[in-house]
Amino acid sequence: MEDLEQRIKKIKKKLKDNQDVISRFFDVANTKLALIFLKSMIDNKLFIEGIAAKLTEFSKAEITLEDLKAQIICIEEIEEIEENEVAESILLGKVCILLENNPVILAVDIEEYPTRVPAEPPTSAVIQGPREGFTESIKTNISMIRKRFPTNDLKIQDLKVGRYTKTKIKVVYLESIVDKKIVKEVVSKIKKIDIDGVVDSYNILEFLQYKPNSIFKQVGSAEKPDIVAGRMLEGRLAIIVDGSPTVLTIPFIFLEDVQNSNDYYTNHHYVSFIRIIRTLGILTATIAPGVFISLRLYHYKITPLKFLITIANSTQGLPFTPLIELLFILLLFHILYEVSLRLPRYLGLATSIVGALILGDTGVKAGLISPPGVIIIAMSVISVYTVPDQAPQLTILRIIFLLLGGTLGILGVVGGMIYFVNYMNSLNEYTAPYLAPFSPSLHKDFKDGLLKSDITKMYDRPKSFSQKNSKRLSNDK
Amino acid sequence: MKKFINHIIERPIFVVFCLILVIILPSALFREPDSSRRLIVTALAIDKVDDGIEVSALSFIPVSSTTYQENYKVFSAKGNSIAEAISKVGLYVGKTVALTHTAVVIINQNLADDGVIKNLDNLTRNNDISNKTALLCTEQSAKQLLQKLNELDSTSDLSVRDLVAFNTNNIYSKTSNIGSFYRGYFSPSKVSMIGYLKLAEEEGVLPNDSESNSSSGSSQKTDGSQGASGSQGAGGSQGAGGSQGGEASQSSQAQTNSKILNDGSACVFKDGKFITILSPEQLYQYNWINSSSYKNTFQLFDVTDDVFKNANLTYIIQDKKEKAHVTMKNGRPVYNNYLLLSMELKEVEQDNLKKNELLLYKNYFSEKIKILAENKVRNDFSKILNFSRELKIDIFGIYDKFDAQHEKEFNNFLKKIEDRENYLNYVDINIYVEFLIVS
Amino acid sequence: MINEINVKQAGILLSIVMFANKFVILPSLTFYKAGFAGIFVTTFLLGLDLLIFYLIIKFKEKNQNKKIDEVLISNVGKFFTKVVYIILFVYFLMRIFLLLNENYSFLKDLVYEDATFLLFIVCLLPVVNAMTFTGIRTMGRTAQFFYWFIIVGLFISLIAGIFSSSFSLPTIKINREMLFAPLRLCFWFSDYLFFFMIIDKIKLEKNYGNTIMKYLIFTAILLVVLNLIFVGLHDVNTFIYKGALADIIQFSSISPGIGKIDIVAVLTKMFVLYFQTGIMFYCLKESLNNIVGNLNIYQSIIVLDFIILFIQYFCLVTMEKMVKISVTYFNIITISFLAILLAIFLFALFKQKRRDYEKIY
Repeated sequence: MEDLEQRIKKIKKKLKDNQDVISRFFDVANTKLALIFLKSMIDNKLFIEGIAAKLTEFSKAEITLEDLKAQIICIEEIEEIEENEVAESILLGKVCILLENNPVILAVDIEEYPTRVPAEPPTSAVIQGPREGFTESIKTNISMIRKRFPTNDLKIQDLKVGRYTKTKIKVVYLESIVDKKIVKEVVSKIKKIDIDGVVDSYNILEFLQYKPNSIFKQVGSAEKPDIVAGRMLEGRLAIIVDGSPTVLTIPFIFLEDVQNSNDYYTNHHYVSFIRIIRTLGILTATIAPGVFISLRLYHYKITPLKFLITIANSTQGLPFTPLIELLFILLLFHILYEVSLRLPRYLGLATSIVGALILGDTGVKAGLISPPGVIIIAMSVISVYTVPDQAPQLTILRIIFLLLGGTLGILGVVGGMIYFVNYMNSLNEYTAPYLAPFSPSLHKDFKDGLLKSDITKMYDRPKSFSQKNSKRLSNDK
Repeated sequence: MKKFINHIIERPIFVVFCLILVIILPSALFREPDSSRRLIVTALAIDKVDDGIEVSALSFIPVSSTTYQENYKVFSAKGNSIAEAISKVGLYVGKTVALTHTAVVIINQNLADDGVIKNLDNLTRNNDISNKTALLCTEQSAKQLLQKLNELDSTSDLSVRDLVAFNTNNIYSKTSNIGSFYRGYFSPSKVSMIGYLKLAEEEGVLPNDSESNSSSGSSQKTDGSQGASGSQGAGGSQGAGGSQGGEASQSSQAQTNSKILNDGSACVFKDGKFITILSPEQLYQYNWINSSSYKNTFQLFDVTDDVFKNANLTYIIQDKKEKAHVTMKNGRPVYNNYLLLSMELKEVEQDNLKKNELLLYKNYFSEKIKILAENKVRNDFSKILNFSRELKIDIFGIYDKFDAQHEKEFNNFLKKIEDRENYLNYVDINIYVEFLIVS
Repeated sequence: MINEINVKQAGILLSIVMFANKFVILPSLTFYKAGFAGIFVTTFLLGLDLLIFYLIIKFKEKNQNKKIDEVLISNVGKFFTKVVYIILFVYFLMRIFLLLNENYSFLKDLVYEDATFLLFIVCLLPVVNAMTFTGIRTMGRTAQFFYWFIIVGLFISLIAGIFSSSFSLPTIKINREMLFAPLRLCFWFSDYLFFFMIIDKIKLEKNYGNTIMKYLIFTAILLVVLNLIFVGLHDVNTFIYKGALADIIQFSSISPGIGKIDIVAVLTKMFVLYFQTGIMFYCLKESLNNIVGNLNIYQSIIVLDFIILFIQYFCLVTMEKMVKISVTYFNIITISFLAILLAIFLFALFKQKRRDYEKIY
């Protein structure tokens, strides 16, 4: 067997002699020990107190691997690995301990890297209810889920994806509730992913979709553990990706995005009202510009006279035709939106003033754009955020409906609506109809559909997707 | 190439959508709005002139403004027919004439005399103009009336639409539109009724038929208003015209003297031809058996009984239940109309009115008053009935009712009488009235 | 892939197809042919349709494991089965033309002023093709999604009509024409023929017949009420108005306050139009497959689109032509076809009974 120094040299060569790979040699009980690790990946405090100090304090005459595992290093997970696994373990933030004349190597997991404190995600703000959100650390995320399910029914399957990133992925589900076929399908799909790297959950999302080219999302996502827990209780599984605060949930139905975590912590009558508002928001966001342009261009006959007069007067003398005008206003809004996302905060105020002035005041006064056009587009843009999880989809649909309304009139808009609903109905991901419980009609699920009833009446889990054990609430009074 | 075809096969709808956009979008991008390519007509006036028909269109002209502003202009053209005249209007203005938003069509009496149906055929055949469009008749030039209506619109809050709606609900209690005209024309009785407007020539001077406009005429007062009155600066607002009928003045042109007079008259047509004008009083008499009309006042004069002495009582009819019953008795048609009037005492004109009379007899209705009221209704009804019989116009729709329920027998009856048109004289027509006093 | 619809979806699809061609010109045509007794004509024809629907359901209950084409082949042979499907193909094609031309004329009058038929087809055909392409299950779900919006739109139109100042219940007068009118107008009814094409796609459950019949009876009642309100509103003028649903709402007294509310009727009609065309197109595709053999979905759709466009433009089809032909020739085809089908089913039933009899003895 090679001596310790040569073994360490070999390992360092495998790691391409990276400067942050550190090796330390110890002489403990007349036995040479070598520790090799990545300085930037370990918890220094734990290393010094839990490993280095313990080794130096060791007073017995002999030291063996068992001693190391059982008595000396009593922190964290200790694994026995082989020589060819050392490099990978070091890269994963483990400290590898080599004993002289012993081929078995111990890998101690004391990885630590900078991570955020769980905070409320901006798009899932609630007035009442839990505010903690997932972070980029898979450990933290798992612990937040485990905290909510102190049961042996919670199952976690570990996977790794990415040739370079070797990203940890955990598939989490409640064994007695979820349909095993879905779990199998998801796990096999993830295992088949052969990609160079995964940096966010979105990178694997498209592999899990049946139709990756579709504009409609087919996999749910959430940034809060209470939302994920709620979905798991309904029969879904969660996919946690290391380095991403967004957890994926499968199966997905469209209604999920219309629901909000706040809905479950407020009076259900108010929630029913708000959900109707959200639905109207979706309609306003997508079809309002299309309907407006079609009425202006083709359908003066069905426009009430007073509307016609107001719009005709306010658009008299504009240099642009109606469709060009609306496309122009839409373009301005989108530019403003992108700018406001990326501009430093201290310049944000200036942007809002400039944006408001350009669009709201100067443009209208200069006779470039009309007030009705600005109102319609503004209403449409704002309404997208009644359902923020569907913002990209609604934005694309808005453009499509605007073009349909402008070219084909209201028949085109109606045709577009039917086409897209038909398309959504053809999505049957993981046995869950996309527009359940509306089509196919599942009456029991209407209790938490567009209108919400109180939780004391929700006896069963949603029938929108398959699950075992559908009983949720005992109705013994 | 194969990849491209596969790409198309995988996304056929996307490809179709792109094709549609590529083909139609360029023209759609440069398409002007409908409102600027068409002449939006809100009122139409049709006159019969020597060399044909003159059509005047009251059209909305957009004006660049951020506040709500209605700007109208009248465009006229002559032609051999209405269709030709309308197309000429479009030619002169340089836009397609759009009649969808036409709220009212005014025809002049000369045209009506000539036969409305043959002249108005275009308005029904034209899919643009709805049969719900109000139809009015005027004595003088329809074009002039249209211009005055335009001034009314622009100088006050009143509009011809409100005028027509008001008349429909409160005066004729019948719809006065193209559809109802045709409905009457195609009905067995062939009688249609439409609203009638006049232009008064001098300020403050009424036409000679003052009887129909006298202040004591109970037949004129409707629920607190009669006609529409609007003038810039005048105290008259809708309904304050009192007994004088409605007036619309053009204060911006105080020196001109023509005004719109909406005194609540109606024209009667038979078989599409103009027959007569019903005065407001006659209309009031007719409305006794018109089930849609009930917000009328009911005045009784010189009432003396246990409570009142020489009092003039005014009741308001709150509700009216009317039922017509038609039978054939020994081959002779019998038409009985049963009225139940729910009334409320509104005013007592009496000198030296005592406290009791004011407070305790709030809804007083003695046997004497009842008899007086019944007689009044019957007298009113017989007046209008005689008038109808004289002119052979079945404004009550008696023929329609018999045709619906006793078609065969009524046709046999008609075959037996000498003058078929005069059938009203042979129908036994009665009215029975009950009163219910409400508070 | 299982391409089945559940019973509720089947009921909804049949309900929508039962509305087909009955919202536009039919009420005024019925009045023109039969006067005030047109209500009886409509009720009679709808009743007849419901009866035949019921018979088909009962027939299917007795032959649950057999498909309709199998039943036909076993009773009349392959050749005559093909003949039956050819007639069905022609029937569906003519119904589509009637539907398209009626609605084109209606939309052109009320909504689009300078639209061409090509624009109309460009709006309609891609969506209809997409619905057929994705299969009947998806079509059923989409119809289920929009069905209650359509019914609400219909209710609003009917209620607006009732609250019109010129509405009064019509006095029904019986006349001789009402005896012949059903023979003239039967082409607009006979929606049970669509049932043939989709009955094998229904996932049969307990009491499926009752569920389907409930939807159909509800539809029939709505149609009778629509006719009643339409005639009550326009009285002797009924024959003038060729766009029934929109003409009901136009005369409503609700309008002056809000402005035009025609848009409710227009939108209802548009939604219904897409589904009606979709179902008819699907049935057309199925009958084509039964005639020619199993065509690829792309092939069937392209062929059908081509046939529709070719006939429309080559024969210069218009609404007036379609109405004339439907009243004079297609009604004869419909009646004869009904007679043939009834004969086949009675024969099949007789054969079944004879077999059962022979089995016992």
